[in-house]
Amino acid sequence: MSKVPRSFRLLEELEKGEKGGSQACSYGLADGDDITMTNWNGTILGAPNCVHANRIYFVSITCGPNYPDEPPHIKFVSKINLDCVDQTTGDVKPEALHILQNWKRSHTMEDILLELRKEMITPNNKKLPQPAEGSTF
Amino acid sequence: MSKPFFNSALDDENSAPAKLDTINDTENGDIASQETSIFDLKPFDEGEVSQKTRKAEKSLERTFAKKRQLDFYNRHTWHKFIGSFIVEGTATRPTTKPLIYGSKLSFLVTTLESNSKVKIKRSMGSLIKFWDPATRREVGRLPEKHASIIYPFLYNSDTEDPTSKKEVSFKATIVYAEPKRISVGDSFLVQIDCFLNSSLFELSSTTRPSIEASQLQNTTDLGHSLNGKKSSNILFGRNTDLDQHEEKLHRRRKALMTLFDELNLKPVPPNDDISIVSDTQNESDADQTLDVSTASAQKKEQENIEVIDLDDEDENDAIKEEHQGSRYKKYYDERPNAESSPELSVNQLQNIYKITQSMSSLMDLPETSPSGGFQFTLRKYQAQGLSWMLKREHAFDKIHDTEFINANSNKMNPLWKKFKFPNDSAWSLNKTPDTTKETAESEFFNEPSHFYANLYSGEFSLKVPTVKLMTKGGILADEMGLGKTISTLSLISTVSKDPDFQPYDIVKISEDNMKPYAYQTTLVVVPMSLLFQWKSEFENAMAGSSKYCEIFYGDQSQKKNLIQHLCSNKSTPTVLLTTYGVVQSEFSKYAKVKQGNFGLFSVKFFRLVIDEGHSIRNKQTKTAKSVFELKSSRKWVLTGTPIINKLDDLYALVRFLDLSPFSEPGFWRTSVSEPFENKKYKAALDVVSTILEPVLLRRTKNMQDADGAPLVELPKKNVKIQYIELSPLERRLYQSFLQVAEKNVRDSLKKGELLKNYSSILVHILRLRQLCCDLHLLMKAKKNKEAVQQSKFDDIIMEEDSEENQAENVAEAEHLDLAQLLKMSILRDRFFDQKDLAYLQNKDEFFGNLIGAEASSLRKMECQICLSSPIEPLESIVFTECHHIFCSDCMDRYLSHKETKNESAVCPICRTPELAPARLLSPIMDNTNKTIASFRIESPPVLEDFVQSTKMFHLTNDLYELYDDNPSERVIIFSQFSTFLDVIQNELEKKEHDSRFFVSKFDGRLNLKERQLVLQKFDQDSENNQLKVLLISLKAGGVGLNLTKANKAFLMDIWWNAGIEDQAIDRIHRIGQERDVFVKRYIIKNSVEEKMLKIQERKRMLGEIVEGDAEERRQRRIEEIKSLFE
Amino acid sequence: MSNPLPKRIIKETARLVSDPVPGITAVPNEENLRHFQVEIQGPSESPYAGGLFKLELYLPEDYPMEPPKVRFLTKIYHPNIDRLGRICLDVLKNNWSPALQIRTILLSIQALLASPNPHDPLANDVAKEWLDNESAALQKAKECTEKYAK
Repeated sequence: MSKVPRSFRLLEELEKGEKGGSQACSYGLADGDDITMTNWNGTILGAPNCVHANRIYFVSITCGPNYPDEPPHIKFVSKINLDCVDQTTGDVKPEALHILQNWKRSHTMEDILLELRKEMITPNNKKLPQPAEGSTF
Repeated sequence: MSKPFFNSALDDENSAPAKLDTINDTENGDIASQETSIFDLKPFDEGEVSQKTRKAEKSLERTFAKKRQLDFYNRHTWHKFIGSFIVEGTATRPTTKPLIYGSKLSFLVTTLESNSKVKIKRSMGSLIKFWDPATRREVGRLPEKHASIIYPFLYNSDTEDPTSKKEVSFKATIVYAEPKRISVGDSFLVQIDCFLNSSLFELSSTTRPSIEASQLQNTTDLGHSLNGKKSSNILFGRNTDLDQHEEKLHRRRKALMTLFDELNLKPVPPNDDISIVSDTQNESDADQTLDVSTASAQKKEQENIEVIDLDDEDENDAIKEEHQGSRYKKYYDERPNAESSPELSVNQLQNIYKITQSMSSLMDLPETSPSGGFQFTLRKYQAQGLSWMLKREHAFDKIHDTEFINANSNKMNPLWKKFKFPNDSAWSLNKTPDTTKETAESEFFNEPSHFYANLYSGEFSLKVPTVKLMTKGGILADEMGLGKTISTLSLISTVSKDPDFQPYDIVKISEDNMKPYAYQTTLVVVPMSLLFQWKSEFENAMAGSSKYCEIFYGDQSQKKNLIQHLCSNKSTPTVLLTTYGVVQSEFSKYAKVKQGNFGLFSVKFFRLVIDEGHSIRNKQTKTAKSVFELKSSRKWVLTGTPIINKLDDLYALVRFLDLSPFSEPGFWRTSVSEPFENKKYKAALDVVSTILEPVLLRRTKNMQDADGAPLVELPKKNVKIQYIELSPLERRLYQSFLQVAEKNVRDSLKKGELLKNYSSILVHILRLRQLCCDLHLLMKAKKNKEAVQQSKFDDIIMEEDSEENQAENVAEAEHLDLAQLLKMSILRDRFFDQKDLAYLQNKDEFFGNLIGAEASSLRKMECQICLSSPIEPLESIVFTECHHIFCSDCMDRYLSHKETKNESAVCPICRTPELAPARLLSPIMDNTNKTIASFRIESPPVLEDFVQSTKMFHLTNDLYELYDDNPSERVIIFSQFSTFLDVIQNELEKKEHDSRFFVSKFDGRLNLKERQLVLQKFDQDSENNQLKVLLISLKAGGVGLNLTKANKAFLMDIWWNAGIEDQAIDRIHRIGQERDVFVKRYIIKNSVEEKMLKIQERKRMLGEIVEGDAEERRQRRIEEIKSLFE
Repeated sequence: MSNPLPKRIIKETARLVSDPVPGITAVPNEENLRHFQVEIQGPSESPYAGGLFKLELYLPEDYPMEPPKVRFLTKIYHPNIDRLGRICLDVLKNNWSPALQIRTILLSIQALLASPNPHDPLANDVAKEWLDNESAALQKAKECTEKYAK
């Protein structure tokens, strides 16, 4: 079975992102001119019934040359206090997020965003104090 | 007119009550002086002295007697400090000297004349005032609130003896007053110490160690109790028509509550040995109702179900807020037991059950062997159950475990609360030793540290007020399949008649409307389908004994005079068996006539047993009402599921069993329904468990006994799901129905009218489900009468699916002509027929030229899709109307691809529309295979082509397999469609099967006799080698039948509610089953069935919410429908 | 590779090599035979004349039932091609037919270069310019061709 090339895979995800998938997150190209489609932006709607409710978190996503064989790199722009997020840089630590740790080609950027959202309400994370809304790394 | 009445507050220095004081005073002056004079004897001469002495002696005797009396009285009365509060008094009279700090005050009480008809609203503050005993003057007023607390206790006109009825006493001491003369209106502070007197506890603690629950209704000797119906009015604050006495009681109760409030007396949790509810239950358990409903609401948001952590309080509030204005508001209804009440979650249900079946108490139950001719040996847990039931009937002579008999149910009545006597910080106590401390005799002198109070009724007790219920009987709630019938029969056998009744009293006048007493008969009410099962169980169990069981049913019953039959001394049936339907119909006649010899209502029975008691859970149905009216000395409910939907289901059972006071609707409402609606789940469930625990026995299949062995060893249950594909014809029809249904749903969703079109959507879904089973279900036929036709004596309707039933009616009413439908669906495809073909061959040059053309020319052609050339074999070449050529594989793939995407197919080369398999031609070669002879067109499927539905096909195969393994096997086949059962029966009885199968059918359309026959035949062993097949309608046969002779079952179709299916399987997977059970379910792939299966599984995972009312159910169903069409 | 390459793809590829379309080359990737590197010469009577445009093409799993995926790798100023190189062409979407092939698609793309259609745009600003001021647009297209496609 042939593997879909990186560019077409990214185009696919781009199209899905443009159509709008989940209501809980969104994503798109950071630079519309970037023919390599490396840099992306994402937003995650905070999980309800917790401190994150009604908050919007911005992330930046970088799809390297080996995407989707390798997972993209995620970095929180909006400040958030989660286990898997480096509190200095905002980088998402791949070893701390299951989907990145066990990455599969079939996973998408949207999958990652939704997983991060789920992380917000895990027992470990939901009690963590959160920085003020609107603050950034 | 009012009389001043002096009532001095209890005075420590002189603890004698006022009356005795007066006696002393008037008669002999000062005791002390009297005493000293005795010991101060001067020498005297005989005559003189003796007279004097005698006089002195006599008076001394008297005073000593009085003192002894006084001492005795003191010894047996006591008061205990419960707290104090400070009030601000307002002076009403000027004084010459300032008030002295530490001086005592007493109270001046003004009474209202008891026969004053005019109800003057007097403020309490005007009726009771501070009184200075030293100056014998009124000093001032109390605040209204405190006056209302004190007044009811100081004045009690019920008796003239002021000593015996003072329940609460007060001592007032001035603790602050300005050091100047008092003028009117000045304030001063008084500390009022409050004491509870022994008389308050007296009747409760000496006469009865436990409070009879029924005393609230009838007894009057408990002076503090409230009487009759009006009691509930008082308890629940409805003040209509209170007479003075009750007004007083009401005031007293109110005063008590305010007093406790003012003193900040809070109840303490009861001891370990007296537990209301197991401590593991906490609020968040109860809140899990909201968990699941919120989760389902958020399903739309994301694919995965969110888990909301309910330990977080903030979250709880958020959830509560969400729901506040919405559904719960409408449940506040003035009527008791409003129809709709909030739903119970599975977790709450489980908690209730957990409480009522504490493992240890269950395991410790002693075993009792049945007597009276009972033939079977009971299983261990059944024998334990028998002991329990005997105890509930107070048949202690039959139980041989005295410890068990004496063990008290140690549940505290939840209306009572435990309080701790606070440390004595009364003012006066600092100065004087408490004389009661010294004397030590009876238990009363051991200073009680705690007391119990029921603030609702105003009763107090020093001992734990346990609930001891008067009702003989209870609820046997063992899980389905554990043999409740046998357990009950063992009870009936062991105690078959009333032991207290003298047989030669032919007619006993009982309290109930002077009914004759059928003292030897137990009336057993069952659903119709179980009638014969019970009879045969009885006959098996009591074989050889003289006891017999009679069925009371149908026309015969009307002619019988039950009074004669049951109450005379001649041999009477031990068990009278009847159905709910009969009870209800008899009752409607009885209600009209209200007297006389109306069957079941003309006598009082010894014992009444209702099987599948959840049938009366809606207390407003006629069935329930008529069952309530049956009279008996003992009452039993058998049910596998006592609480089906809501907490109020339980009320019907409580009412049936007369579990006073909870059987009163007002009482139930206040103590259970309202707290539950107000989200005070713990309080409500506390009460429920208190009510249930003594009267309910439940064991489940997976429990273990004391040795760790499972309670019931049942063989394994293997359920297999077989996914099958529809045949092309069926699939074609299914697709066209599906399209219509989808369009309908989509349109309704868009307009937001899903609810409005709910019933029509149900019809669509129903048709799809029918299509999955058999096309015959859709055909207009006389036989196609579903569901509605249940025999009129059979009341058990599955409410949940009443809308389903309606859907079926609607569907059938629409007169589907299957052939017509097929035609319609085919029209879409516009098949070629022979005319078209002729035309093409003759008039169309292309095709015309091809006829007779050589094979070689065909071979040059290339399929434009796969680019292969030549296309082999030649017959697989496909021509379109527009003369384009493809190979059949590619064409098939293309067409199905388009169908999957729901796009119409066009010619890949020229885009001519309406490409369809029906409009393709394939060449037919001649014999030599060298030239094209003609063309083949795909002909439209005709209904006549329909031989068998897919499911039928697979079923037949499977039955053949079973037959080959064991020709005399017994098999049960379940379906919700009785028409489908008809079809199956027809199929299996066809000649081609050589009578391999012996088919019988059990469904709602059979009458009683027919049903009995069917069951009998099925049970009998077959003489010839025939596979016995019993077809059962899921609705009619799901209830209670015991079919353990079979161990194989097929579920032909799928139901919304997995529970119903489980019930069906339980017909064979229950006690009495000796072999492993195998169940097969057929599910059509890519169909509504598959989706329903997923819904079922999801429900199972989440824990099915037992839904509240019809609207809730609808909402839930709508969600499910939406997911069906996603 | 669990599924072998369908015969059709093999045939097509062979034909593309042996009998190429004038002005168009398509070469499959060695590592991924469904992935093609394409070069299209700008049509002569268009602002793209003289330019050589690189594209990439991919044949999805259900090809030929589904159309191939194509995009421009060379920057181009065209109303139906966006900044990322995506192409708005009916045969690539709803008008696809399994009877079409790679060569026909590539030809259509070439034809699209020759006749832009600003009324069905992908790049809105470009299309607007095309409609408002065609000559300026054409000029720009030429410039871009000079800049990127030579």
